Amino acid sequence: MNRKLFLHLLISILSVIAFVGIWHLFTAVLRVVSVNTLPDPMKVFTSFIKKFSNPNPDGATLLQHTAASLQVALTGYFYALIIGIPLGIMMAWNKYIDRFVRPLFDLLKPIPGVAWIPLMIVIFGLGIASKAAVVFFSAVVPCVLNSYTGIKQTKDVHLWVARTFGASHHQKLFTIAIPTALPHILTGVRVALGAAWVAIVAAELLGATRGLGFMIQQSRGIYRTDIIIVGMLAIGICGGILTSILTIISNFLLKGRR
Amino acid sequence: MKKRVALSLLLIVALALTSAHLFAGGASETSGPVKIRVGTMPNHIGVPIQYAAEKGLYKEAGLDVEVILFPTGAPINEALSAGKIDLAGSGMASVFALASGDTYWLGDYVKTVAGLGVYVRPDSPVLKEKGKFPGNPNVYGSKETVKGMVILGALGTSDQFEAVAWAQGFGLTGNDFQMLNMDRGPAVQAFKMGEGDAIACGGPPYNYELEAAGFVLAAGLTEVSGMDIADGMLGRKKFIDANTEEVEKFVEITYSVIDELFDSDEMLADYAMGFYNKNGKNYTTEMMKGEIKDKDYIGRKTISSPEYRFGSTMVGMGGFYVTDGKIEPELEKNIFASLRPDFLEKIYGIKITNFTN
Amino acid sequence: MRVDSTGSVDTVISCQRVSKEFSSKRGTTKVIENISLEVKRNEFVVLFGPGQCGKTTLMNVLSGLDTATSGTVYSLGEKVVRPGAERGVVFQSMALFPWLTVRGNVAYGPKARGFEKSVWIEKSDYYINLVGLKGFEDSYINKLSGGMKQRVGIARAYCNEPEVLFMDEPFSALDAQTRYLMQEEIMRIWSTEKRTIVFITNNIEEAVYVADRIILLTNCPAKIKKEYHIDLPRPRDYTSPEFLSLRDEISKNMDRTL
Ligand SMILES: Nc1ncnc2c1ncn2[C@@H]1O[C@H](COP(=O)(O)OP(=O)(O)O)[C@@H](O)[C@H]1O
Ligand SMILES: [Mg+2]
Repeated sequence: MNRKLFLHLLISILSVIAFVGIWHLFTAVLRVVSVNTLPDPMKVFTSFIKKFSNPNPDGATLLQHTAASLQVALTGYFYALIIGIPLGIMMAWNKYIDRFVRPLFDLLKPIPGVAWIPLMIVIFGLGIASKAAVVFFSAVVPCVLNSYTGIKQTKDVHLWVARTFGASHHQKLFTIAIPTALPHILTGVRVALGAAWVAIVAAELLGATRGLGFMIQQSRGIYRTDIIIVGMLAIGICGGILTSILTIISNFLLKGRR
Repeated sequence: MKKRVALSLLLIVALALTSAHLFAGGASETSGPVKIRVGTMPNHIGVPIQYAAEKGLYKEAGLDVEVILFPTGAPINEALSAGKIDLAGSGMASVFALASGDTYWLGDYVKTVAGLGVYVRPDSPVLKEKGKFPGNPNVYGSKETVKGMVILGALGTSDQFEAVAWAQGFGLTGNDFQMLNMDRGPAVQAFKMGEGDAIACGGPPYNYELEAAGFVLAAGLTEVSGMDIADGMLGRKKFIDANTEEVEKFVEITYSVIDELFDSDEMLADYAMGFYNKNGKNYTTEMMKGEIKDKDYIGRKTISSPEYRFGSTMVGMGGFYVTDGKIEPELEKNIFASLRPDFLEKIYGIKITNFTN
Repeated sequence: MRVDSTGSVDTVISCQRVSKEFSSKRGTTKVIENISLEVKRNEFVVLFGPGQCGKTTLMNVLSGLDTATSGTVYSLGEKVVRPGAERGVVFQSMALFPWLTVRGNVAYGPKARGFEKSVWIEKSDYYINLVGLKGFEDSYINKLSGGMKQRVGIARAYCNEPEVLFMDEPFSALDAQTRYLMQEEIMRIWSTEKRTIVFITNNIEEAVYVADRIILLTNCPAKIKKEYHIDLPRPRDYTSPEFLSLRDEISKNMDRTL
């Protein structure tokens, strides 16, 4: 490891230590607020470890909640990808489709995913479908927008090259436009993942029986701030892991371009 | 230069305006009477407090009381924990506040005789089983039929308690069924639309609505818990320790409403209905009559009787939730320690015995 | 082999009285005026003229990427209306595909035309070898030097095996040293694999070094000013008296850009 990298790592670690340190100071040492309002880091840490095996007070262990959230989030996210990316590509590639879809898309785009919750519960009931639909609406917008922008980056001269090689319209889309758009599409895929993960937590605050958002909601009003923070940590950690997986995948797909 | 000064001034003003609410919670120490922020609900629990406030009874006694209404006890707990309210008239969710060690229990003032319990659809398999609940042959259900159910209700309230108590009777725990968290109004709508297998009813007016829709009470709360279900008054320790006199006055006035005014059912019905309907409910005279039958206000008469035990609901439920894992065992002692019968003892000039199990 | 409009079996590409105008809000500009020419099989023709005179426009019309305002272009006796695989183009900006490796770029044409893998591997191997890029098959474009990129562009155009190859100022972006080297290289490649080449340049030395025939164009709108057949033996010597006198004569006749 070179020295600069080491220094950067050190600074990052220091920031975390400083944060936890201040937290510890204001809770365990100075006790500015009651332990029920804000538990100290050690208490949260032990609750976190305990929650792996202890279903109390919300009926399921941390892994069960995480699995439930992941299942719903990934379902909605998956549909957002397989619908949003092709839709964005088609809108950018074919102006008739663009004209047809755009007014509707522009109307729905600014509606935040969580605003769909009540309607989705009425339509799909309280099961996985309504929550997955909320995730879908949150994640589909960045997929469409980024795919669209990506296709629009296609250089005319690349399309001319393809034409002089006798490529069909279809071939131009798949061998020129989509490869050009790939970095943008992958950005959309990453942004959508973040949006999906945010949406699932919001969706689970209502009408859920499992999941990290449910766990947090359960712990409200029963003086279990420690479990609330454990839930937040789990959400952060999962989101971080999923994002790094995507980063690895997209680095692989984009290798050689930089 | 001037521009820059003006700009920074503007920035400071903006900051002050936007952050003012952050400090509003703690800054109640001003001159004049102490402001008492009281959280409660637009139902039978809130009636005496709202009445006293509206008729100016607190003001007459020199108290500055602000009543804040919440939909259930869970957000009342959050507000207590955050120091946004000082006292509360609340239901069973209070047990979590007491277990936290940050609050005192000042006294129960309204008892539920009927109306709380788990309802199911008429075709539910639960109704095919009867007599399997230990200690009460009228309760429906069995271990097999209750296990794995999806029960609608508000988390951290009596709804959850009803469902847990029912399941425990069959040797199950709160983790053997799924509680689908919804506020009470939406839960009733969702249940009518076919969601869930059962609904934990939060009391009037929802029990009337459920019965009108043809649903069946499978397990009444008093039957499954074997306990008196009483709602009452609690408050933040810090506030009560610092303002004992004011709190005592507050308790005294609130109980005087119950003792003197709510002796007459008509007068209570009149006032309560107006209060509920102003807060978005649709009570009919019929429903109101039912509620008066289902809820008994507790005053001097009950409290002075030698059988009366202070804090029985809270202590009983605390034990219950400890068994169920919702409250950590080491916190149970906080519930005993939170009982403060001395306010009522002083007001009524009597000796009160705490509940022990 | 088909017989073209002029009756010669050896004419690969020809045009008759071609003019090209661009219209915009501010009026029309004539860029090409009444050009007729004929390119014989395996001939190395240089379109030589001052900057901005209309060389690229003429190439676009000849290759079918753009249509003439009046006049007709023939390729192997057939009217040209759109680009086609028999007319390859090396663009001034190279227009290589950065998402593909050297192999992917070179094999693009045969793949687009549906050749089997074994065939396009064999073809691309041959042309990568021909331009001297053996060992770089799996390198991505952005890792290559300027001269290597030019080689990829040439190999890519060659690999599609067109009847005629248009090259639009392919070496204009290179430093002087590399430019000389690439001029030698294109001669070596062309003498190994004879093709009909229409080569655009505004560099007189380059024109005289590579051409069988130089077509001198006027300032915009471009007309044919004069044609020179260059009979000097190859490889040519930039410093020989014959080379220098030809260079001076053509230079004298070339219009000055303003
Ligand atoms: N698409 C176009 N629309 C309008 N004017 C054009 C267009 N393409 C080229 N021109 C004009 O035609 C002239 C010749 O351009 P070009 O053929 O690129 O010259 P060269 O390749 O000889 O440098 C220039 O003045 C240019 O501005
Ligand atoms: Mg040009």
